[in-house]
Amino acid sequence: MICFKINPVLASLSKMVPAMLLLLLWAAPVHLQAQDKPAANEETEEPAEEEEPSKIGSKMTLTVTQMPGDTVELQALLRAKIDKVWTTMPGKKVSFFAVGDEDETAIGEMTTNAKGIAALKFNASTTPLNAAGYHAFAARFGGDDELDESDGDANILKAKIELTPVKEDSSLTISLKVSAPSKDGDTPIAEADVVVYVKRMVGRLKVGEGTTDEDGNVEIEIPMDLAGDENGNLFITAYIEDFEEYGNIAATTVQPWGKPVSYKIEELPQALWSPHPPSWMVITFFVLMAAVWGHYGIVVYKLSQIKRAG
Amino acid sequence: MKASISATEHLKYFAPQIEKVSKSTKAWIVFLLMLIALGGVALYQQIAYGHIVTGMRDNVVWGLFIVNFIFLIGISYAGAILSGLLYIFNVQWRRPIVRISGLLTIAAGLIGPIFILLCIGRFDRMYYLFLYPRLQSPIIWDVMAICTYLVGAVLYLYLTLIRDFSLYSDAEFLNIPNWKRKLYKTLSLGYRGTEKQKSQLKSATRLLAIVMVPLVVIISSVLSWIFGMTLRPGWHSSIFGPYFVIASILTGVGVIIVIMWIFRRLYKLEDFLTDKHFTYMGFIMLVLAAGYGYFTFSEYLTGWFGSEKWDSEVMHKLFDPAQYGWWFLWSNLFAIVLPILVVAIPRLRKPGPITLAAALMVLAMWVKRYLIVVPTLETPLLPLQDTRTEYVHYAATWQEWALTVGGLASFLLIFIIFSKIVTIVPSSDYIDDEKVAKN
Repeated sequence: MICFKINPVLASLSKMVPAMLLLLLWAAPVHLQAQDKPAANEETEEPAEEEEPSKIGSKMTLTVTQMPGDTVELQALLRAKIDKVWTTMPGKKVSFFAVGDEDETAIGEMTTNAKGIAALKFNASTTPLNAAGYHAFAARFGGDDELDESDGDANILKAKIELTPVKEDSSLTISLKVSAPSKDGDTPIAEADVVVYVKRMVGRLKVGEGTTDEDGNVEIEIPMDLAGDENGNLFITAYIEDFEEYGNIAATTVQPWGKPVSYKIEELPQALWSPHPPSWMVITFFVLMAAVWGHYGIVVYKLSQIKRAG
Repeated sequence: MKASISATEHLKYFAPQIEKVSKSTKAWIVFLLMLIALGGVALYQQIAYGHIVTGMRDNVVWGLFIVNFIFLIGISYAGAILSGLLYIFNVQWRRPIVRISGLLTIAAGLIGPIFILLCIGRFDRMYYLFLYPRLQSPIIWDVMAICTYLVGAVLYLYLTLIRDFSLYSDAEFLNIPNWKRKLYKTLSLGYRGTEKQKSQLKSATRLLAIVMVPLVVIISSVLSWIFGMTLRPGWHSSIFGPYFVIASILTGVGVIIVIMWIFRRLYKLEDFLTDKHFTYMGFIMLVLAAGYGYFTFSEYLTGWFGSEKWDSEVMHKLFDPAQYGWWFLWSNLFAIVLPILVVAIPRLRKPGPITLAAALMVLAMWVKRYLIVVPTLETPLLPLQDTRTEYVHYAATWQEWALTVGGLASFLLIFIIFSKIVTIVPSSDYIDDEKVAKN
């Protein structure tokens, strides 16, 4: 009996369901739209000041390489995190400073290259050391429309590599002495890993490595069959990378130890890419082609004679 | 049949061949068109997705397409040189063979170069070869040679067809549509067999036959020089020129024997393509197979004896059963030993065995082309590190096989179309016999 009573109610409800759904579909967007709009009776607010677009944070890494003659190269690498990836930033101006105990001295300004590196080489003989005996340097990027400002600093103790080339009958050797100069004289630097590179057309080629002994000395042999420039010169660099508090240390020498190789582009008479084929080839080609096509011409002429006689 | 058969009788005998297309031929044509369509699908994929759909990569830059090109263009050269030589030496049994050779020349000569287009990455820039040719490149030599050759081959075939066209257009008993008769008349150039016309036609045919023989030798050598001029192991060989020439002619002779056998069965031509023709062609095949065997032995003995580093690498691949050893052995047995044995043994010197030997030899010669192209490219001169296996080793993809089958189907289709336009055995050759008989 109850069923009989409930069924008509359910039936009428079921008829209402589509209508309710339609109503819901209409009402929901209207309601959402209304939320977005300011209320009709509210006063229109002053337009908010446009927010400055947020800049991308940047990061700078400063490395120092010491070379003979108190020459120092500062390399500032500028990067920014774009889409969660550290990306190098080319074309940005970076200022370099020598930092003293109380003040800092501007050394120069460079623009970052395609790899995001601004490099400055200068003579640091007059750059004062700080109280702790370190050379202190700083690099700063002042920021621009896209990037936030950033800076980097590096403190290094003075060090040097003395490089002596030794040529013997059956070997070529680079004799190296690594030391830290001070007022009391040079202090040998032991346990420093030295890598010797030779400059190539693109990049550099590692040709040997070694570790300094307690006197700061190491000898590294150089291969005898390397290709040099047109005079046989090799540009040999000994390099210590990021060692203790000395940063990078490098020394370069040029020695005529390579095989002379001329990089002049000369016309190769037998090369496929030479601008002109050899004369004999041109003559042979045209003689052959003329002979064959000449015979074709005779045949075509004879065909025309056949047609004329037809 | 009948040494005394007249040209008219001959044409009446062959009339059904050019008058109608049988149901079985139509079915065959449809089947071939389906194969060509399959090749079309593969071509679409190659154009849409690039050569990545093929098995060709950085090292193995040539594959089935180049193999097919060398194979087909070689067959074409063989057709031209054979018909030229038979004409020059006025070989009497040449009649049924010259036409097949001529058609083979054109069909293979048209399809072969298409594989070059399929092989190059941007075939839409093919015309650059003509706009900016570098005469010092063997590729340019080959392009020029093939173009020159194709013009000569078409001219030569046309010269051998003029008298037939004249005969067909005048034969009122031929039940052919008007357009076809008009076409024959136009193509016959009004040839009526006057003394002047005969003289002009004969001298033109003879002249071109003489030109075609050295031309084929030169352009076949040019094809080989594409390989021989490179400093690659297995290719850089001074005998590659004559090696390619003899291989081409041998393959072509094999294909002609197979086609002769097919047409003999298809059109009941036992009276025209007699056992004698198969025997003579078999003898030619024997001599060429022996010559080809000599060149093969000389080529590989020199390479093996020299033990030059990279040559030895390729040689090892060809002799190693785990790599190409079985294919190499099989290709040489079927291309050299089998044809010689079959023709040398009198009991086997019959159309069936000769055709079977020829067919197997042709197949073996295709494999040999593959063994010339691929193992060398799989032997890079610089050591490779961290390279994917598929970059060093070649495996043809279904697209390459589909295009290969499509090309073969096109070749057969051209042959069928030609056989519906001209008689397989030239009827005009019997005109002179007829006059001699009347006199």
